[in-house]
Amino acid sequence: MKVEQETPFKLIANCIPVKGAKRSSICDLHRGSIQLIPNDLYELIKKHEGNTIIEIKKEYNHKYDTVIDEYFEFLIEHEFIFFTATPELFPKMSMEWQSPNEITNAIIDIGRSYKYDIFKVLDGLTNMNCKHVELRFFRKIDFDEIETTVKHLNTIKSSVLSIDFTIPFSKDFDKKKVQDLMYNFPRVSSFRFYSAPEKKFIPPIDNKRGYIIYSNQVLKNVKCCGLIDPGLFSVNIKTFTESLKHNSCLNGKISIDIDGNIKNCPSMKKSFGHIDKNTFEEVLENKNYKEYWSINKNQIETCKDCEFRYICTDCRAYVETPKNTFSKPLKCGYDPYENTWEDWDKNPLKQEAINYYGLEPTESIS
Amino acid sequence: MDQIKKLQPVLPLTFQKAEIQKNRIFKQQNKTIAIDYIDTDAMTPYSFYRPISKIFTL
Repeated sequence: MKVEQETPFKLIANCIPVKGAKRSSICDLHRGSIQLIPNDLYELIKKHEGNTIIEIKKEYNHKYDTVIDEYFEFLIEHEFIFFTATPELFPKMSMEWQSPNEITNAIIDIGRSYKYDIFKVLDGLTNMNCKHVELRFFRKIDFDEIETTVKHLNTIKSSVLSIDFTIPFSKDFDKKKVQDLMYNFPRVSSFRFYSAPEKKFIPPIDNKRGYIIYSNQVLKNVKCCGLIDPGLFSVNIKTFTESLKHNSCLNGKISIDIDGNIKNCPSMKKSFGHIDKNTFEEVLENKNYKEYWSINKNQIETCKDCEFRYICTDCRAYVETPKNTFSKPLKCGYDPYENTWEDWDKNPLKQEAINYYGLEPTESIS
Repeated sequence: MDQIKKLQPVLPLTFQKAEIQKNRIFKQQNKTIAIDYIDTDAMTPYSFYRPISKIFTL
């Protein structure tokens, strides 16, 4: 497509500009990509969508014609806009987010300190229509235990569509064995091995689902969670629309910590019950359980000025000012006022919070 | 274009790809749906649309 000077332009409905403090972004929610743009271009799109380029240039008394041409070349090149004589026929996309299930995702932590019935947990999640589960092991585990767990989901014809395993690296988990398991049990979405001798990503085989990540990071406990990193950004319609009005980590989440406590997140202190005593339904009836679900990025300090705010997953367990519910995530090293990334744990202003939570420096196997 | 290029530190957005799933599902007790078979035409890095936990990155 070419730039047309005399035809009104329109943004493609699923390409959404997001304004930040110093620069903006355009999130292409269909392609799952993001482009950074100057705030000037953001303003131009917002103010002039539906106008022709000639009209825009005239509005600025032809002072910025070259820049305006550059901007439109960029927008066309990335297929963010199109030209049409009938822009009114192309309505905006609905930004509503809805889920048929109250609980959409769950974290189950398993450690050495307490043994609870994992089958009972999976049965409970199935009763709640939960679709996505992550099991994180902070103890040694053998392959048979994993296989038995996955088979149980088949036996109960579980509502769970995907299950991710985070487990310590062990030679018992031969790559072929893991791939066969994922092939035979399509619910198994990924294996993430920590404390591995090397970093590696193994994509799914035969176009099936199921990938393997080997990380040399050492995960001692839940305090390693809560990372904010561009590699964890999710550019898609569901994440974007959910983030507008809900918390992008805790909304629809239920968790069990290594001691069997039912929480919003295993890293948080507040417990709402115990897996051996309470059902998930009982926990959800507690009006305080959903307290964090509606804390969105527009309310969080610093995040509200960030151009990545609707594609980034929040963290309420570790924040810069622990007594402030709306404080910036502690483990975010991005400064939207300077557009720079730094190692969050090296920031002297974060040391007080790091000490408060008792966080240790990240360890990796070299 | 120069102005825009200056603003483009390319992010490592390597995980998101289009997903087409052919799911054969059946009803269970008229209440829940369970998956019998899943096949994908493309790599599906995140089954849930956002990371469930953020305990490590690649």
